[in-house]
Formats: sequence, structure tokens, C-alpha cells
Amino acid sequence: MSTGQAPHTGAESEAGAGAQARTPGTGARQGDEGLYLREVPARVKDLSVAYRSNGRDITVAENVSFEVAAGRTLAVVGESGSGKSTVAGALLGHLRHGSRITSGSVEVAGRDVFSLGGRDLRALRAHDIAMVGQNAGNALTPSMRVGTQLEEALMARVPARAERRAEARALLEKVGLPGPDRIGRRYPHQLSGGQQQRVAIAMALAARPRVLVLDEPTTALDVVTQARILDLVADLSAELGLATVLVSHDLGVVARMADEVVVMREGAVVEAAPAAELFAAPRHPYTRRLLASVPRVSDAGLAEVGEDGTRTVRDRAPVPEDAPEVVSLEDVVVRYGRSRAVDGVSLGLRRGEVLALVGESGSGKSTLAWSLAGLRAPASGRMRLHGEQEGDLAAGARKRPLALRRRIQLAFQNADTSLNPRRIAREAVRRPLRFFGLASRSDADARARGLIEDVALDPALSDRLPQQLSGGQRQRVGIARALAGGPDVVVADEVTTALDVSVQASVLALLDDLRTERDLAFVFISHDLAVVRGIADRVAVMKDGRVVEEGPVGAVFAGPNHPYTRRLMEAVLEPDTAGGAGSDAAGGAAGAAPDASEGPDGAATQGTAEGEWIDLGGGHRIRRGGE
Amino acid sequence: MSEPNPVDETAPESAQAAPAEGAAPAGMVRTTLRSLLRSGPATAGLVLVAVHVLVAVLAPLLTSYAPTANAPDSALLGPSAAHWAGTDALGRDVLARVLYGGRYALMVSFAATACAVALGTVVGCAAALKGGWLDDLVMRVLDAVLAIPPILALLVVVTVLGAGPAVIVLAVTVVYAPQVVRVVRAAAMGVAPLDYVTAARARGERTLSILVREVLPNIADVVSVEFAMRASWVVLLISSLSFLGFGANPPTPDWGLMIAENRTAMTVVPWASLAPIIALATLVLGLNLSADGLAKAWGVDRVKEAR
Repeated sequence: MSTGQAPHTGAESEAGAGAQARTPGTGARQGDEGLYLREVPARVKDLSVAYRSNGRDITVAENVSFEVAAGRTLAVVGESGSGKSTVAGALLGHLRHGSRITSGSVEVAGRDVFSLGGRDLRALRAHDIAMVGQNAGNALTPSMRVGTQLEEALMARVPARAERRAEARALLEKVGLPGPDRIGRRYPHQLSGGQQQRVAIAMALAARPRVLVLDEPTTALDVVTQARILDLVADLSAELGLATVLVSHDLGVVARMADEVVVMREGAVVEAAPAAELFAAPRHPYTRRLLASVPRVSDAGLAEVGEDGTRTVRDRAPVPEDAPEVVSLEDVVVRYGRSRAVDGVSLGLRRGEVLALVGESGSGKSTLAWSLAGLRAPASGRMRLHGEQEGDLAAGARKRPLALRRRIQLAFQNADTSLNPRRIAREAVRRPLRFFGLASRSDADARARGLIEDVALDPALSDRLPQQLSGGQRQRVGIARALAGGPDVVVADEVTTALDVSVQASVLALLDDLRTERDLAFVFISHDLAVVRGIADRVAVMKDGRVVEEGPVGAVFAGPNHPYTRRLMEAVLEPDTAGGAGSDAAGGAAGAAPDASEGPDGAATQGTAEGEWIDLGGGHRIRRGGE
Repeated sequence: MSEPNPVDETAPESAQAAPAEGAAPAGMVRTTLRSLLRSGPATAGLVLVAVHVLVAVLAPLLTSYAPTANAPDSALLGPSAAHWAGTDALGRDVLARVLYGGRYALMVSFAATACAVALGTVVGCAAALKGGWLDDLVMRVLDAVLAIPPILALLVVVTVLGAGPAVIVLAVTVVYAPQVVRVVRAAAMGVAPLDYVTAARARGERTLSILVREVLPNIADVVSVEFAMRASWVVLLISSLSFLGFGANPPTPDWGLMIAENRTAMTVVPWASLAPIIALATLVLGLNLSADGLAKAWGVDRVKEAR
């Protein structure tokens, strides 16, 4: 099939040729090879998709056109509801239930996808086009070993069982999974998210497709894993000459991967240009605004984006030197069974300060936050609230006195699940007001409405059910609910992660306003360093339940750093650094074995070494010992 | 059952659903009804159940005969203008007994199902929310109870405590509650880890209030479908008991009892046993079809929930 287009490794093309000789289907297809070479692997022409709701046609995609050449990557970018996933599905001949094509065509490997019947469509999906979804955990069958699943995907191409097994092993090796024999025998749930995604990519490649569709392939992964997966995909598509369609909302990822970019908004293409051109000089105001909304590691504060896409960096209100400490943690240990999810963390948080907890998934940052909120009592260590209300936080929520409990409140990551779908927004805010005895029955409604107004929402929306609100609006209601208790400290667990960039920017600005207006302290958990740079005053980097580095945001981002922090920073993808030094370095670091350096760079000469920590002054300290 | 790739389904769906959705709970009732009425079998099921309820309520208006009045001189008559479905061995009007029989069947079944589902829901939710040793204990006890064949358990209860509606309700509750617990627990487990429940926990709310405010409204669909489904089984079970002579006591007009009483005279007055059989079959069918329709309208996957 694709042997003519792409340089394969020796073993690969041999196996491929062998398979083709034995399969009548592929043999026949070989005769068309000359034709295949000339045409574009994937072409979307004037595509419009609509679905009917309440007797009206609602357009999901409108006159979308693009084509992808072999070996090239095209990115479809847009915010949620822009129709980008619809376009991705259409490439595979899949439309959401109730949707239909109102105009245009989709051509893959020279065939009109939507004119194909069941059998032909299956053949197309088995040989020419493959997809990798956002959540590989959902795409793999939980009750089947991954090796067997891979072999199943090879069934169409490799008839001999022994060969299939060998090929499956080769594929697992190709996607960079260590010990392919061992991995192949595992079940999906025994693999990490990154490993699952690699298996999903291996399955997509099993068919030797000509077109690879990636729908938000790294959104569910943390930055370091994301960088590795993206490198893998880039290498593979170059090696195999794939035409890649990448669907993403993350402009950093797009800048790293794409040759061409199509920007979509509300179903329509607003701009299509080569990546370099688009990122250097976006023409459409929407693209400009979108690009400007992306937080950058280089911003010293929150960026504010004007209608025309100009960005100004908001000055950060400094935390006064004499601000009292509101929460202090000393050697806190939180256990899950035998493992220590949080292992000896000591931190302090001052009034009006935003402390960011940064780290990969599984680093213990969320556990620490939940422990603060009283959802999981620490096994040992001291955790205290200071100020007006003095109290011990080591007890679970129900054991804390009411007056203490309300001083620490949680805001959640996932806007879809943070509100009860059966209760209107106002009710979500009203409940804590009543529960903590902060409002009487008669004025609770008015107070709730007021709080909803405080988070910059139209109070008219307070009568709506969560499903009638957008993600950003729901997130604001969640924040209003956290504020209802009149807290000193708000623990914000990845509150902006699931939001579109422009919405994220406005929610971040809201948090920043609330902090200054109400003198709130925030524990801000995030894996996005650029966001942290904008909102936080201090940063604590966590790894395996320990804080490996802590300091004022400026100092931490200026370096020197713990090698782990450095790895996190190198993995950050920004639209400006397209193919620049930053991402190359990240690629190198990711490809190589984990950083071997023993200590923080240059720190030994500047800092005063003392015990476990290297103190760099100004509250910036780094844990001794590398990874 | 599940889509091969749920990712591209859900993400944009939620974005588009927001503006398209109608208003609040009233809208939900309307969409449920619309979806039920659009499906032929579900409509038929609802109509059957409605007819049964109506007939049971209006029984005294529909027939002038008393269901328990003996009339030895008109025993074992075939269908006629006076007795549409004939009479039985004691000369009682079969149609009147079938009509009144529905009252007994519906009332006892409804009460029994309501008790079983209510108990099952409370225990299931508690097990899901509390977790830990309580959950383990409840589930092991249930496994033990589930290992006993229902009809056997019922017979034991009835023989020990004697027949009578109250005993039957109790017995059915004991037998069916464990199965309801499993289904409801599974559904509640899906809701318990969600952030709004976590938020309530972080506020330190009592388990009961978390259950009532946050969990129950979100598993109401599962519980309702469970109710409709169980109801049809309970109707059958109670009739079986009566048929075996452990349910309703003789003069009571009850379908199971009627079939048992009249089957010996099957060749002489076939309608005396056919009429209660038809009544029973249509009620069970109606309940089943409605339950299926509800499950479809709300997207409740009973197979998945029971796992």
C-alpha cells in the first residue's frame, strides 16, 4: 500500500511485502498504486453538516474545505462547539446520530467516503484511515490484553497468526513501549494514560493507513507525557509518510506539530494558512484573539486580551510583606493504603497569596488539596488554619467545627460534574449559605444571586440548570459556591484546565480580582506552567508526594531549577516557539533517559547548601538530589 | 450499547445541547412522554397499564354482580348476555371476579414493589455512599439472600406467618429488595465520586442529606425503571403464590386463585380460567413494555446498572 511512498525500516517493508503477496485484497489494490500516488490522501470539499433539533436545522460545520498531502500535518483548531470533532469524524465517514451532510464531500484515498456502503466503508477504515481519540482508555477494550487487541487490528492485513504476533510486537516497539512482550500481555487498565495512548497509536498504525486522524490526542495527558507522545507521532508520520489531521484546541500543540492550520469557529473556517505564517501573522481577528489568549510562560502577570487581539499584561498586586500566614503545613503525610500520596510536605500560605501546586498527575498535588479541604485526613504532620479563626485542619471535614470548615473551600476542575444537574445554579450557591448558617431562609436567595453577580455572571442565569450553562458559566457558579462559605482559603483544583483559552483567561482574571477584593488566599493546582506564571505568587513543584522546589514565581521561572522543574518547563508548548529551541530541547530531553544531572544547575556555586534543601534566598529553595 | 468512540460523541454534544435544551423539569416530563409515545410498544404498554388501573378503580360501575356472591342455580354457565364471561362452579360471575381481581393484584403488587424498591434504594445508596465495611457487609448479606430461590423463601414466610396481603407485601419486600439494592448501589456509585457530591462532603453534610439532595435526584430514573420492571415480576409472583394456594384466601377475587379454582372445569367453562389468564398476561405485558419504554426514554441501561 504505502510502500511506494514512505521509506520503511527494512523489517517493516519486508513484512509489508509479504503480507501483500498473500492477501488477494491488497494485491488487487496494489495495481492502483500509481493512481494513489498522484492524488491527495484526504480532501474535504465544501463540507456542511447539520442536525435537526425542534424542527430546525442546526449547522455544525459550514463549507469546510481543506486537503492534506502525504507526509504533511494539518491541524484543525477551534474552541468547543466549533465543529472540529465533527470534521474529524466525517473523515472516517462517521456522523453523530441525527446529523447529515448538507453539502460537499469528503474524499479519502480517492474515494468519496459518504458514497461508500457498509462493506466499503469498513475496508476504508481497515486500510486507509485510522483515528486516535482523546481518551485511549476508552478506545481499548478493557477485557482484552493489548497485544491481542493489536493482533485483531492486524487481522485485515496479516492473515498468518504467527506473523501477526510478530508484527504486533514490532508495532509496540515502534511506538516506544519498553518491553513489548510484557506490555502486550497486559490489560489496558494496567497501563498508564501515556502508555494507553501509545497502544492506541500502535493500533491506528496497524492498518498502515495513509491518513491518520488525531482527535485531541494529548489533552488527557500531562505535559511531559504530552511532549513524548507528540514527538512519537511526528516521527512516525514523517517515517511512514502519513497524511495527518490533528484536531486540537491547544495552540501550543498545534504550533509544535502542524504544517498547515485551519481555524474553525462555530462551524465555519475563519482562517486557513501554513502554520508558520499563521502563528507569525494571524490575519483574522478571531485567530489573533485566540492566539493572544494563550497564557505564556514569559508573562509576568495575567494577560488581558482586547477585542482586536492586542494583549496587555495585567500588573500583579503584590502580597504585602507583612501579610499574616493563614495556613501552615508541617511535614504532612497522607496515605492511601500503604503508599504515601503526600510524603512530608511543609508549606505556608499567606493572606491574599496564590500558591500554585505544580506537578504531573500522581504527584500528590490533588491529594494534598483534598486533605486541606478535609476530604482525607493526613496520617501525620500538622496542618493549621490561622487568623480570625484558629483551628486544626488535620481532622476531616465533618470533625471540624462549622466555623472552621467554611474557611477552606474547594473549587473543582470539571465543570460538567461540579454542579448537581438536577438543581438550578442558584440552589448550588444557596445551599452552603444556609448550611453554614450565613443567611436566613428569606434572604438566602438574594445573597446567592448577589454571589452569582460577584463572579461576573448575569443573575438571570441563576435560575438555569447546569446543562443550560456553558462550561465557563458553570465554572463561575462553582467558584461562587466556594465563595458562599466566606472562606479565607480557596483550593482551586485545575479550575481552568477544561476550559477554552479565552474562557480560561476570563476565569483567571476573575480569580485574581476576587483575591484582591476579598483578601483571599488560593491554593491553585495546575499542570499548566504558563497559567501558573500568570496567576501565582509562589510555586511549589511536587513530585512523588514531595515538594522538590518552592519559591516566588519570578525566581522559580528565572531558575536555577530542580531538574524535574526544568523538565516540566521544557515540555511546555507555546504557539510562539513553533519549532524553536524550546521544543527541540524538550524533544531531546524526552527522547533521552530521564535527566541524569545530580543537582540543580549552577545552584551549588550560588546557594548555601544546608541539609536536604539548597536555599537560594528569597524563599526559593530546591530539594537536593535529582530525579 | 456503547459507542465505539465515546470521545467524539460527548465533547461537542454537551456544547450543543446547552442552548437546544428546553426549560427545566417540566420539559423533562414532556420529552419523556414524547419519547414514550413515539415508540409503539411503549405506548401500548402504557395504555394496557392505564386500562387495568381504570378497570380496577371503576369495577363497581362496570358490573352489577358482586364478586363473591354465590348463586348455585346458575353455576358453570357459558358466556351469555347476562354473564359475559360465564360463571364458575359456585355460580359467581367470572367477569365481575376478573374486574375486582385487578384491584387486589394491583394494590398488593404496588405496595410490595414500593416497599421493596424503597428499602432497596435506601440500603443501596447508603452502601454506595458510605463504602468501606458497611458496603462489604451489605453486599455479602445480599449475596446470601440472593442465593435463596424467591418462591421458596416466599413459601416459607407465608407458611410461617400465614397468608394475607400484609404478609405477602413483607415477603416480596424481603425477596426483591436485595436485587434492587444491587441495581441502585451501582447507579449511586456512579454519582458518588462526582464533584458536586464531593463538595457536599467537604461541607461536612450528613450522609442522609447528601443522599436526598445530591444523589437521589440523579438516580431517580434508574429507580423508576427498576420500579416498573419489578412491578411486573411482583404481579406474576403474587399470582403464582395464589395459584399455589399460599396467597389470597378463597372467596377473594384473585386471578391466580381463579385460575387454580377453575382449571378443573377448563373443558366445561374455559372462560372461567381464560379470563383471569388474559387479564394477568396483559397487565404483566403492559408493565414490561412500559418499563422498557421508560428505560429507553431515559437511557437507563439495566444490564449495565445491574453489573
